[in-house]
Amino acid sequence: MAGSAARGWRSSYQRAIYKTFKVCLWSLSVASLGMRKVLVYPLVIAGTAAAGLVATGTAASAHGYVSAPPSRQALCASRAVADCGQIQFEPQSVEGPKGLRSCDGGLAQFAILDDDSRAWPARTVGSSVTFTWVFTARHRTSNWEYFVGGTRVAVVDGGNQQPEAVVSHKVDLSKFPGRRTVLAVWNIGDTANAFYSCIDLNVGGSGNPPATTPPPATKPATPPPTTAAPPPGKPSGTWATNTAYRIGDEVTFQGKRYRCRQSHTSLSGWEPSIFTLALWLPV
Amino acid sequence: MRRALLAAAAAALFLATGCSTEPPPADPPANAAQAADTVPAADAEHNAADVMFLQMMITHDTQGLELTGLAADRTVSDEAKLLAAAIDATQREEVKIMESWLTGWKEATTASQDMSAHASHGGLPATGPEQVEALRDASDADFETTFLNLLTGHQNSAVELTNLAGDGLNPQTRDLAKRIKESRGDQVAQLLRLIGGAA
Repeated sequence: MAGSAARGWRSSYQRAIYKTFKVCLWSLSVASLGMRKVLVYPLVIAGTAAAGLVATGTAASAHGYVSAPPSRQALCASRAVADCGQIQFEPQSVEGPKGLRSCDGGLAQFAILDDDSRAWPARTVGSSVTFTWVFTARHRTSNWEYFVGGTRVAVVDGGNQQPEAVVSHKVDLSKFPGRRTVLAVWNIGDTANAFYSCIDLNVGGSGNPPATTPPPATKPATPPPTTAAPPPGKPSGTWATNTAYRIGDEVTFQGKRYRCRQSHTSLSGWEPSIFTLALWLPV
Repeated sequence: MRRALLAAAAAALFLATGCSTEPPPADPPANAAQAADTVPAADAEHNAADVMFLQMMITHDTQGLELTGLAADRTVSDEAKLLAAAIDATQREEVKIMESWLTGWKEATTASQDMSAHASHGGLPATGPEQVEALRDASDADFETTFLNLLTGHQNSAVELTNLAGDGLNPQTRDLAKRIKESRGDQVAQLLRLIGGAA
C-alpha cells in the first residue's frame, strides 16, 4: 500500500528530502528548491502519510532533546554510553505521539532508551534541577512537561510560540530524593507529536551517594554497559582520534607527515587530508 | 583563472578516470609551500542533489561561523574556545572547497531562496538571525551555555543535512558529506561533554 502511494513522489530529489527530513523541515527543503516548491510540498506530505509515519498527515517540524543534565540520548551521542545504535547520530529524533510515558517515544529503533538494564549513569544533583534543551528545529510549543514515575512534577507553558535560543527550566524535585528517572516532554503546538527525553538523576545527593545509588548488578555475561570517553591522549607519531594536538605537533597519517597549524582535539572526519588543511599541513 | 584551472583539472580527472568513484588522492602536493591554498578538485559529473547539498551546506556552515565567530571574543572555557576555533577554521575551509566545486560546475553557490524566510514555519533548523542575536546579547554568565547548546543543535542538524548527498552522483561530494557527517557527530560528542561536565 505504501509502495503504490509512494511511487508518484520517488524522484531522487523528493526521496532525498524525504529521507533526510521526513516531514520535519519540509519548508527548508522547499526553500532550497525554489521553482520546485509547488511540486514538492504536497508530494512530501503525501509520501509521508503513505509511509504511515504520522497519523494526522500534519507536518511535524521540530526536533530537540535535553542536553543537561545529560539525557539518555545525550549520553549516547556523547559516547558516554556505548553501543546505543542509531540514536547516537540523531539524539534529537525521539518523536512520538503526545501522551506517551516511555523514554523511547514508542520507536522500536530507539528502544534502548527505555531499557533500564543498561544501568544509565545517574547525575548527582541538588533538590532543584535546571534542565536545558537543544533544538535542531524550532517549532511552536504547546508546553513542556516533567514526570517522575507517574507524577507530573512540572509544566511550563510554551505559549504556542517558537522556543527561545536556549530553553532552561528549573524544576523542584525535593519530594523525589534518591535515584530517579525524569521524563521530560516537549509537546509541539501544531502537531499531534511530542519529543521525549529521559534523564537519570541522583536527587539531593551529596559527595557520598546514598546506598540506593549503585545501578542494579549487571549480568556477568554482558559487557560493561558504559564506557567513559577516554581522556585525550598524548600526541604520538601516528594520527589518532580524541587526541589533543597543538600547533607544531607532527603526525604521520597514511604514510604522510603533517604538522598541526590549529590546536584542536582530533575527531573522525578531521583526519589530515586535503579537506583539513586548516588543521594540518603536509610537511 | 582559477575557475578555468579548476574546470580543466576536473575535466582532466574525469577523462583520466572515466567513471571513477574514488575520492581525489589526499596526497600532499609536491610543492608544500602552496599546500595551504590547495583546494581538492571535483569530477565534472554531478546532479541536482549534489548541487542542492553543497548549496545548503554552504549556508549551514556559514550560519555556524556566525556562532563560532562570536565565541572568539567572549569568556568561555579554554576547551570550548579551542573547539570553536577549530570548527571555525575547518568550516571556512569547507565553504571554500564547496564554492570552488559549484563555481567549477557553473552553479550558484547559494540556495535560490533565503532559508531564514521560513523560520516562522518552524522549518529552519537550529540557527537563524534570532538565535545569533540571542547569543550576541547573552550575558557573560550565560554565554557559554547558550553557545554550546546552540552549536550542538546546529551540528546535529548538519548530520541530518548530509543525507541529502545520498542521491548525488559526484564522488567527491559524497566523500565530503561523509567527512562532514563524521566530524559533526564527533563535535556533538565533544560539545555535549562540555555541556554536561564530568559524569
